[in-house]
Amino acid sequence: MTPLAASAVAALASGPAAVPLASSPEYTLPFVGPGTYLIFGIVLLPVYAMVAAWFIGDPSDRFANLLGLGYLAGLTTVLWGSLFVATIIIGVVFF
Amino acid sequence: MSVDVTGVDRETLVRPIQTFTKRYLAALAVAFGLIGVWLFFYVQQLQHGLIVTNLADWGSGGGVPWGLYIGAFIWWVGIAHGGIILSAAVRLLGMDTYQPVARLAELLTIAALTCAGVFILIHVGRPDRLVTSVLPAWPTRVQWSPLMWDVTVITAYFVLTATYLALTIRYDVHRLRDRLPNVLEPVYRVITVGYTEKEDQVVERMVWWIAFAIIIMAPLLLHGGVIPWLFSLLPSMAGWHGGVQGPSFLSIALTSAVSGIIIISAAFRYAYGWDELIPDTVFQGLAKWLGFFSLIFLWLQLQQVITGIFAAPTTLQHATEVKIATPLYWVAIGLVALAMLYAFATSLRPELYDIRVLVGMSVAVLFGTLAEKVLFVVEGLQHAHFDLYAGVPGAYIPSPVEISAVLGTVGIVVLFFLVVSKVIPVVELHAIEDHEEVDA
Amino acid sequence: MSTDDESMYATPDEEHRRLLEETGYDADLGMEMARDAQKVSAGDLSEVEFYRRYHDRILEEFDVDDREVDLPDPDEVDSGDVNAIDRIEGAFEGIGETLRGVDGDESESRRSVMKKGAAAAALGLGGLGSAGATTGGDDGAAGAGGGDDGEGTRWGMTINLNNCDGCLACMVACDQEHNLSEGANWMYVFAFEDEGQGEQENFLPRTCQHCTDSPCTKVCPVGARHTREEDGLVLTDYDICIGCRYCEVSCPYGVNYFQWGEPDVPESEIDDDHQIDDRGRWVGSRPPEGVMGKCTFCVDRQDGQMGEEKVGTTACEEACTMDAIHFGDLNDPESPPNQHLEEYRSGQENDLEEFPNRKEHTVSTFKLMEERGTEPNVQFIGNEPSPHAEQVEGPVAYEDMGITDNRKEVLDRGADGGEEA
Ligand code: SF4
Ligand code: SF4
Repeated sequence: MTPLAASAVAALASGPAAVPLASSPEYTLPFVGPGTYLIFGIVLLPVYAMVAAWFIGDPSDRFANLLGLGYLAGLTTVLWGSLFVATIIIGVVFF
Repeated sequence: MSVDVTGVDRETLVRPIQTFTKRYLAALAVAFGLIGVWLFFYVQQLQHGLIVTNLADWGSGGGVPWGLYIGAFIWWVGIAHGGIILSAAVRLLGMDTYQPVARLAELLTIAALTCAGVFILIHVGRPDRLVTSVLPAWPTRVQWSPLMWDVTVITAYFVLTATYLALTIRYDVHRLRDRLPNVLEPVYRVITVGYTEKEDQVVERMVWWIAFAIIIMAPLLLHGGVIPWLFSLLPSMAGWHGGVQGPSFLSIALTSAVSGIIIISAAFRYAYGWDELIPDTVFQGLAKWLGFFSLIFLWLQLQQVITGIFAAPTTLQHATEVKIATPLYWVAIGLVALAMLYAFATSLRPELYDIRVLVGMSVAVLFGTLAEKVLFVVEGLQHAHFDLYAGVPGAYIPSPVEISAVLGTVGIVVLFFLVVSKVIPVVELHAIEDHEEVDA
Repeated sequence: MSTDDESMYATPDEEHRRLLEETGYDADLGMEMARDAQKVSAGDLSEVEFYRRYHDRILEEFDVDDREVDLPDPDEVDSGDVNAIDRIEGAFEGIGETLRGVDGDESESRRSVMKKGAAAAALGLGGLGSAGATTGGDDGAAGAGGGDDGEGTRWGMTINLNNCDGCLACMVACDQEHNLSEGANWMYVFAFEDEGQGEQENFLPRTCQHCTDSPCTKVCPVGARHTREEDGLVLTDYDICIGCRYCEVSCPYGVNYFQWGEPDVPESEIDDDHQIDDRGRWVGSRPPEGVMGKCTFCVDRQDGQMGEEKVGTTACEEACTMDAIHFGDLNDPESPPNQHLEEYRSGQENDLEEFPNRKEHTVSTFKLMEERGTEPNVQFIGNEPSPHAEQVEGPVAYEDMGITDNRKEVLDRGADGGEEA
């Protein structure tokens, strides 16, 4: 561990890990961070297994599989998109 | 299997879509009324801030910062969670008896998750930042903050459940198309886009895998894990600690979900004369589950009370003592106990079974679990370890604004079912026809 | 402007990413160097480390690193090597000065000054070492000074309960300095009686403990509650906070005060200098509606925005005539909190000749609920309240000082009653 990291950790939390327990997010970042790895790398494994099974197993149908994927992606977008619109409206009207 | 509803015809299945009654309108009015009351209050909250609630700062402030909103949030998440587990269990374990109510359970999950989301929105002080603050922080915060984790998990469940529904509905809509209203043609065209009968088996497999993913992720993420984690992580409050919270939350989730499904299924059965489609056997089976989950719920409560008063650290002991001295706690426990006794009694003496009593019991259970959740949050917050403050324990009684939100979300669920049942069949075709029959 | 957040240097991982991110000439590198140079000047970062960090990149960018003259290979420099530090310091004279100079412009908002400052610094770095002046490292009393533990500044307090007479002057001062709404008592003074300690009253002034391992920062879903890396202050970014109140629930000490309604003092009446810190983030003074607030250890003072002479002081400390509150850098043995503790202890020495196994002094010190593992940066001298201690009315009533004790009463008056100034 570099002295830099050591001092950062010492300043934050005297815990042994090099992960900052208390840090604020970096807002210029693209959508990448430890949480991204945790969620997309580990937690969503069953979902990956599911999608893989769709394509690999038998019987399989390309269109249906893509449709399923489309639903997954589309619904996520719609959910957050509509929430975003709602928050913007609330923000404009009330804040 | 004692239940066989394959004799029911397709007409029965689409009855909700083809009829339009005054009673339906009345229900619609009630739903809109509930939502309207809530919106009226919520606009006030947006205008003036959370000061319109009875929440306040703990510590010198003499209040509690989380209350009915968070309690109701957990409650809805629990219902949603239990709903999807039950539906996934029907698919994975082939519990055909419950097939008539499987889709209702899925719909309940979607509606309840929506309500949980609504409660996050109205709980926070700055709802306008819910996306702009959350998304940029997500990659660095989700592994630390249970609340962020919750938002993630709710998204995942919502998307998986809705995908599930969207894929399975194609089969039914395609086959029942001639019985469905023409005004909605564009909707059906979108729903069934690219449908061919060849895909049935493929979709069957796909949804099996979705159910699989849901089941694997379910207890790990939601009521078995993260929500109790949300609380027991906190070093400040005595009442929230302990490993038993996980199972305890799960038991409450399942208990409330079964109750919810019983109520909704009974409502449809009553409204559309579905005595054959959703026969008594289904309810008797659900009643057994209700009794069983209630038993676990009560058992885990007992566990907490005993560990809480027997040689517990002072503040935990104090919190537990206060909890068991709260009448509402005993009302909640009593309601669940009553439901459990009734459920077990009917399985011993079937002549005691009456669907109206069962529905009444389910309502009681839902009330009891909501009360327990709110008490859990509030009493947890009232009894801080650091109780030097004269203002600790703080005082809290939900305000009309907060209570209206619970009514409003109930209204949302009712409205959701009223609207959805006019568009798609809320009971699967599979429930009344074997696959071969249909394909033939 | 949230881009200049030092926490990005927290892990090697992030460091790596930062390097990757570095694309074009000047801007990024300049920004980073400027920021780090500020850290050097504040004593948060050793010069050796600063040099090491930028050596390769300067070479890459400008083909030659001017600073290199007479300097050892950065990879062989050990931060403990005093000579190396001296040599490097020589090359770095003036950076701190240059950077501090950009803060002065009163007529502009802090935010725009921050942006310009970073840009100016980026340009200034081209001619490194040309401006002669003192190095920036002296006011921060950097790690080299050898504090309790760790390098850099760590603001904290020693509060001597034996001196406190419960006059509540600190509460009033805090209230006014930060434009707090009625009942939001960032500083709160308890009068309490303890079992078996007679009728005698004890007092306990309670700020935010600015915990080193703070639960509130861990649970914040959006990272609004954060620890400022340069000096360990635990702050809330009012631009980001969504008002979920998780931090309040997780804090064991009950120091958070949410802004439930309209603040008593409108935004227009508060200077940017009070609100925006040296990173350009809105963390100071009272929070806006729907956002969480708590004691900031007077972040505006620590950043020099109230004038250089106020750095290392707080409003409550200033108001206390009883010499109970001592604020300063806990990493600096010479700072008021460490000094006071030292003096107080040496005044109460044990007779070690007769009782060699006794502790050196008889002073009782404690931190609040240390067993929670939060590592508070506030330490107390005096009697720790036992679990059976009870808050009682003090000699000076809160109302007499124009303070509201129980905020719930204010909140219960509702939107129209309570929160108007
Ligand atoms: S005292 Fe409370 S608010 Fe302050 S840093 Fe510690 S946990 Fe956070
Ligand atoms: S109230 Fe604000 S600062 Fe506190 S945890 Fe929530 S978002 Fe973070």
